[in-house]
Amino acid sequence: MSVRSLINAALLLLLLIHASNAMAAHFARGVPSFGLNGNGGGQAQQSIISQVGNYQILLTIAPAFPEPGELFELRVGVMQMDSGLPYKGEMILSYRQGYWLSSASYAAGRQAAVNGEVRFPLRFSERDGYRISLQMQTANGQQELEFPLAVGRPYQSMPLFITLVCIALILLGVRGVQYVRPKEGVS
Amino acid sequence: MNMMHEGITAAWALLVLVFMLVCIVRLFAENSASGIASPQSKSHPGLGITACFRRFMQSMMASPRLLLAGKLFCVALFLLVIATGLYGTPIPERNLAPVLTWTLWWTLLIFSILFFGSGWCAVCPWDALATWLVRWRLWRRGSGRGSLNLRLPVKLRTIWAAVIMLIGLSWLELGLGITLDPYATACMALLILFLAVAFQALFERKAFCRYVCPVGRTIGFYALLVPAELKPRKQSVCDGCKTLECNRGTSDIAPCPTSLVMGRMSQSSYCVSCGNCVQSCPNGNIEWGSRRFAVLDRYQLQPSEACFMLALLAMTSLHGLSMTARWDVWISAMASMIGDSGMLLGTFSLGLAVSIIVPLLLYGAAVFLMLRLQPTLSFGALFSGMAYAVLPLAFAYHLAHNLVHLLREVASIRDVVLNPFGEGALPLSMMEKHMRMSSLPIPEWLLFSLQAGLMMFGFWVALRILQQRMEVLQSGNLSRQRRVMWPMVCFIVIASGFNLWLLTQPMIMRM
Repeated sequence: MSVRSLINAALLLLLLIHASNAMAAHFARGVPSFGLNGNGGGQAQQSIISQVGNYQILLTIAPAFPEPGELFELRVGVMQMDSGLPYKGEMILSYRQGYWLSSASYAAGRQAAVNGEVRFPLRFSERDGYRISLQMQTANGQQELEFPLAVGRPYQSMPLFITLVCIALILLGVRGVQYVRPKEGVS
Repeated sequence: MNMMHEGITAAWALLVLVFMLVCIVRLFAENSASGIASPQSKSHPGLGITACFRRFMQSMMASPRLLLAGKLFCVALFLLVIATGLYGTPIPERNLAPVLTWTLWWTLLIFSILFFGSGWCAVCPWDALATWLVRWRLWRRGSGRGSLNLRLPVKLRTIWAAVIMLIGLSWLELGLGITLDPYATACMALLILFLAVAFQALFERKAFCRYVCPVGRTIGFYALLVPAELKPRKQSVCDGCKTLECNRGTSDIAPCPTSLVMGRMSQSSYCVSCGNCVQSCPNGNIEWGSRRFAVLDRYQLQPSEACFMLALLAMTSLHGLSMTARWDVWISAMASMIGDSGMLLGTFSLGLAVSIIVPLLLYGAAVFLMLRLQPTLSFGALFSGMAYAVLPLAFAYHLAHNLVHLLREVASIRDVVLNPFGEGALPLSMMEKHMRMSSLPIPEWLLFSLQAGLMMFGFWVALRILQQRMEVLQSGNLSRQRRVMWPMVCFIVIASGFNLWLLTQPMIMRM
């Protein structure tokens, strides 16, 4: 490799670094962030930035923490990452109740995107975790994005309960073994 | 929208580069061996601690009541973190759990090593709770009936588990984003508590602290660079000791939790500063004193220990890299290429793997080249022996990176102390975010100079340790030593240069 090509490669690398530096970024994709809703008079809203294929997706849930029986809005904005053009097509929303081992899927709506955006009004009557699924048709076939949504705050004590039970089982098990050990020694 | 912290200016970066160049020239221009490997050398060229910190640690170690008070305080905070994480608001910047855990503790922990060595382990809430639950004693020696006291199988007496835990923790932190999730933060704290209890209930002494805990191992290795440790006042007293209370304990004091013998300790990274040896020594011969540089040279690292040090370097750099705008662009482009979607966990995992493999390959290549220049040494001995030189690079960058978090984000602690559960709290407004961004407690030039100073110091210590390791592995011919160490000098320059570049980049505010 000649010196000139090395210099060219270094210049190209610098150009790429400079170009990428100008772009905004987010800490971890798919992790909810919270902000104040500009339209709702200081109401909290939840936003999730994600990616499906070549599309960047911004999900907004307002209010941020929907309660059982409360009407809330799920706003979905989709645009192409390379061109910045809004998605033109239909989006299908469905949901499953429960984060784990749940297979029954229910339709929640179907809308055509206007300027790459759709708005689904939703209401869940039960306090639980839900998995919301969003389907859209792109040039590369059907794309699907799934994300969790908590209605109310379910299972808050579950990790604490599981940990305490596991610790108690271990400690009791050890005590049990220790109880047997001296008997074996005596006999 | 995310806020960005400015990186250090080009002028500071240039200054660091000039300093690095001067250090390299001096290293190869010296006419005699450094002598730093000899036991007669006086002190470690690490950071000094004041007599005040030493006295404080000495009184802590000697007093079971003071230690207990420290443990109770940390356990209370730990339980508060779990309560707020599970039952508080999910908005991370308004909940005590993520702010206290990730912004304050995780950041301050690394700084605490500078002043207190492995002092954190003495008041670690995970270990304290596990000990209380298993031994049923608050500070005196328990009956031992609560634990099976099994010996860990010889094959498992390595720290590979800690390496995996360190990488796993980084995956959870940066990939899954648990730093932004109070609930997940509490769950992780509970999981580690379970592991600590399980290990203490099954195995003798503190196998979890010694072989598994990534926090303890990180502290233990970084503490090697700090001139403070528990050590004998007079080596001759330890040499004549037959009873070894420091290792076996007494009827009242528990034995050393990591099976160390104070007078024969060749490497103190496994000391958890529990103070048992200080309290049990009948001659009062153990003190919290200054360390000699020569401590490093007597111990040949195991492969797992060398890999932990390399993983530390990789993970600290990844932390910085993942908080730059460029990382997101790369991850996004890679996800498009491989068809990943959603949280992009597959893509992140790939990025994480690359960030481990690249420094490992570069380090391996440096060791291989050294081997070509000096075929009498073995690859394994060189690979493990040279890893010490990587440690200051990781520590210096870790401190420089954490300094930004600490100074720019710690203001958030005031609000969550007043309202730890975040009852009725709203997310930060744009105004509040801007206020936090601009509320740097020290002038920006001072922050940049501290960061640059840390990078220079890390580079200098790395070169000194490299020189020392060469003297240990290949005593004698000085010019030959210099020729052989070239590839590793190149690796140190590349790693330092990359970390310096990271510091020049704007960094995304965590919350």
